[in-house]
Amino acid sequence: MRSLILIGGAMAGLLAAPLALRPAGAEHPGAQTIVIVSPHDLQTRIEFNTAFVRYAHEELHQDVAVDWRTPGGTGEIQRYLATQFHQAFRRAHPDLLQEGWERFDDAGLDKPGAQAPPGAKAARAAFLAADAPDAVSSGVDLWWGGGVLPQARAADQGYLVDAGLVRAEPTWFTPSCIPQTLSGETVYDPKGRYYGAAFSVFGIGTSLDRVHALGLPVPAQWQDLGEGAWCGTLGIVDPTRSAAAASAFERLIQQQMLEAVEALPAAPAPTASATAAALARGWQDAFTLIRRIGANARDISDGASLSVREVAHGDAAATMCIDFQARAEAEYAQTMSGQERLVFQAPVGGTSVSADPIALLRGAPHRALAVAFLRFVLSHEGQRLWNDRPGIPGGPEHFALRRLPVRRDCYTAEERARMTDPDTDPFALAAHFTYHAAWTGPYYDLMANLVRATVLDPRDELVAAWRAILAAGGPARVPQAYAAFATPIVPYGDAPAAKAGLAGGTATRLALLRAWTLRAQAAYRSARQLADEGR
Amino acid sequence: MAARSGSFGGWVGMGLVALLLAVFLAGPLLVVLTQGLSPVVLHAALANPVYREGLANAFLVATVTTALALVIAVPLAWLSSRYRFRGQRLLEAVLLAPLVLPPFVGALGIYQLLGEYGIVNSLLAHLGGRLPGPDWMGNHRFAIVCAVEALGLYPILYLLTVAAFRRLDASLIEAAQASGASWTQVAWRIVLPLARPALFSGGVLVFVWSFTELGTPLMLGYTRITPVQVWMGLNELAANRVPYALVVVMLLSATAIYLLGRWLFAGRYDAQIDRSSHGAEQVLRGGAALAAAAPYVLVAGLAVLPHLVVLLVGLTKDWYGTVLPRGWTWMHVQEALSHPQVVPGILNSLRYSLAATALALAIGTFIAWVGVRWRPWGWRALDAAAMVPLAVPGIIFAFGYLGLGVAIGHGLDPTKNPAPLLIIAYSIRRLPQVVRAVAAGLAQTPVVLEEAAAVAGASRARSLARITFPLIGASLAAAALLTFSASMLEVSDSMVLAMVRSSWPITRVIFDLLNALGSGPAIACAFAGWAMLFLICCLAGAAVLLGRRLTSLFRS
Repeated sequence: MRSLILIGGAMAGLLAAPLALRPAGAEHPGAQTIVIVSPHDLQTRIEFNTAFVRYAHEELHQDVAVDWRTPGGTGEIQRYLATQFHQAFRRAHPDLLQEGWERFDDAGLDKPGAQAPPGAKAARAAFLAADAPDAVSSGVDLWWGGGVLPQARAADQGYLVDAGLVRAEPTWFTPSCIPQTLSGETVYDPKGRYYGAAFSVFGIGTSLDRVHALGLPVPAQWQDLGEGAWCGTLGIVDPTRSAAAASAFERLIQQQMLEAVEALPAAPAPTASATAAALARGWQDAFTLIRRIGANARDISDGASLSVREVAHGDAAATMCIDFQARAEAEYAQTMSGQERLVFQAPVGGTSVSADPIALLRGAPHRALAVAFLRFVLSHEGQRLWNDRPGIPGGPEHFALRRLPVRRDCYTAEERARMTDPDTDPFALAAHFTYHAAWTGPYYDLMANLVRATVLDPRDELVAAWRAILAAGGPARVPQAYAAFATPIVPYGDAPAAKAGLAGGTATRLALLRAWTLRAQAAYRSARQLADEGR
Repeated sequence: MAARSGSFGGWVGMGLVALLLAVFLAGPLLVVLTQGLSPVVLHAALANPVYREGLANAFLVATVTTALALVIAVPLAWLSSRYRFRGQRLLEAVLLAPLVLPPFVGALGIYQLLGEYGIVNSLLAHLGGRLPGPDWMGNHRFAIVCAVEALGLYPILYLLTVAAFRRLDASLIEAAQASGASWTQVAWRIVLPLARPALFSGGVLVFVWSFTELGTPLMLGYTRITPVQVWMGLNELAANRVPYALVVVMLLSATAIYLLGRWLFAGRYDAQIDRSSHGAEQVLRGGAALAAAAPYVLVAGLAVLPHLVVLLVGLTKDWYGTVLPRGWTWMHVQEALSHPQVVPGILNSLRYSLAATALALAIGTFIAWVGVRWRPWGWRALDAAAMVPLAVPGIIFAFGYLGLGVAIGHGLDPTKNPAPLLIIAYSIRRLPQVVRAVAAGLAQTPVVLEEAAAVAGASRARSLARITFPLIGASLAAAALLTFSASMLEVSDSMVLAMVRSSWPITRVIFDLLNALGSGPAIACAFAGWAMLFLICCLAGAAVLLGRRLTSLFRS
């Protein structure tokens, strides 16, 4: 009996500890709940949750709670929302389930003269006509985070609707506060369907101990990661699962394309066909570089944050990531150990400053409150949470989020004194790079899937080929092998057709991806054989 | 056993329980089959080289894991069945720890152990190597997954094999030795062949469980394997039914393996086993005892080590490039237990586990009572059905529940409120243990007491309440504690069904914490450490209540 009492006491103690330590006032019974789907990390969710609950209580006199849905990275969120909308459409319009109804979210149907069965057009019209919880609703109010391109695509599909902030807050949406574009990238949608909420800079996170052990310099440019010396040491992230990775790859591709165009003789001015050829060359060079980086990787992560952690622990030497992820890990290591273990390097001329947007979803069940949240995030008060030091009144309570506000008025000298990264200026960094949306913007999905199908899925063959090439003395010593290694799978000229193929339904899509993987595998096997033969 | 005729109430109960099992046991399996058993979807799944590789890897992991588990379990089982030495009971208990320690949590510790600047490499550096050492996780992930799974699953084989070895007729071995057979000849020609049914049934269980294990490969980042691919496909189920097809392939493979096992080994060797005579146990002392204890310590140490590391990481300031942690702190524990995600997670898990325990006890006690005391028509089918969850892997059930919940809708749709489905899923998963525990308790309680009560005019309800339940109280309490503790850290159902954040149970919260930047993993470890301590308390309680009968609950 005594032992039972002891055990019971221990259990009670264990249960009491978290209840005693529970933060006070965390929940209000009867609070209205908004639903936000987001890939944001826990710290961001916690700080904005706390601040918004307080703001709503004090300013709106309303008790609110936030239901965060985190199905995973941006790829997962896109799939999750598509699934939710398809189910909702099926429920809301049983009378419209004619042939082609699944294309109710196909933006291609909006073009004048688009060919489609009548069922598709009727479904599309019905979908776009209503924006109410009892019409077609995903059950989610806001989508926050994951990059402009996925949200721009969702906006065109009709998943996102105008939250009305551009009209409601005209003083915010001016070049002196929140510019519409920065380094060629959209910061907010002029139609008000998505709004940049923070800036992200893509770059390279590097483990200092690992580079010292390898005897290599800290990589400063994307090209550096393609060197054979990194073989088996890099972290790489699946771009179909992480928008951060997809965007980083896109910057890499843009840089290669830009360099190819800049290499053209300036006078006489290059013809359109010469420019097109240069762009195609740049695209191809970029994919070869991505293959080399992929072949240098030690493993594939599903999320950029996991890959950054591998670097912080010294398990991987370097990885492509977003600035705030690397800064958060670096800060944690520094605080706990007093040592600098991780550095972040933005490749100058190889990265833009991109906005990380927030958007209102069609059929939002708690529309008014969702708009209030959106407004709070973009307000000066909300923006301060991104980079103020924790504990300062008006700043985050516990965590330094180390992200960059989108409002220029958050970068005054007075504001900088409160910031964790006072020297970072996204507006200055943006001047070194111009993002050409027309070059790669339409192929966001294609690029991610191409990387996955030709670099990640056939990774065993890729690594074997690359190691054989390195063992034979490098690409210059075995040119035929390297040419096979670099075999184009989808040349730039074929990108529009490939894009259409990916959008052509699940079966077509899966068949296309399979075909790319098989062709890449064959190319790498041949490269390996040629390298082994010294050719 | 008295066969008291069943009353009307008894039959109503039978009907209700049968209906419940039909919906929540057969239902999920049917859903999986109907969703995934379409030639188009199966083709889409199997034509993709990535999914094919996933299946091949799942088979390879299962094969290697089973082989490793056999290598670990059989020699230990032999030691346990033939020798006695001081401290052996304690070591045997520690050896069973992996049955209750979630491999999911242990995987957290593996990164600390095997990282480039982890414990093993730091130790190697001390012994003359240098940091960073070998990249274990980068180059040997497959082997690590297999080793971790084998160290989590060997107890099943160990328990079955010990029982089989103890049943061996010692005179056979003595006769062989007298005829000059060597030790290896005895092992290969007599012991192993006679124990083959036990080895095979244990091997099949280990094979199927490792074939379908989600938590370990997911946590160790081994993603090219079917269970993880299925989990990753969850978010696109409406548009893409490939995950269901993969689950069907897993289900069919598992069934095929069971049938093969049955067909090959059912009852073939029983005739040669003398149930009445036990092999004499040799008592070891001094050096021999120490030598015999060494393998126990080694295996139990390896199995518990990752969990121990998790406990330490939760209390550590920094652990990078050193064998032992550098500096201690309560910060992570405090942060973990005051975390806005953690308290709701604990409360959710408590709610679900308590409800699941009550449900499992109600159904399980009824099934056990029917099987031991009443035995009407169909009792065997009911008893067999209650054992099905032992054989069907968690992820298959979880997927079936998901489909079932969405199909039934109303209160059971997990995309709206996962709680009811989670409670049902947890309770059905633990039904076998509850039925076994309560049946054992009932079988040991003399039926004459109940008959005497009936003769004295007590109603059945009164005799149950005043005589039967008090007498089997310890069994009921132990079954309750085991169901409760297993539900608190359940993985598959929690990961698949907890689709709404506010309803996340502990394991889902740990997984989320792990992905958080900065202190995330340390907080996850601190929280996991708390959860393990809680689990240990539950089990200690069960052990006190049940005494040595505790381990019998894990035998299937």
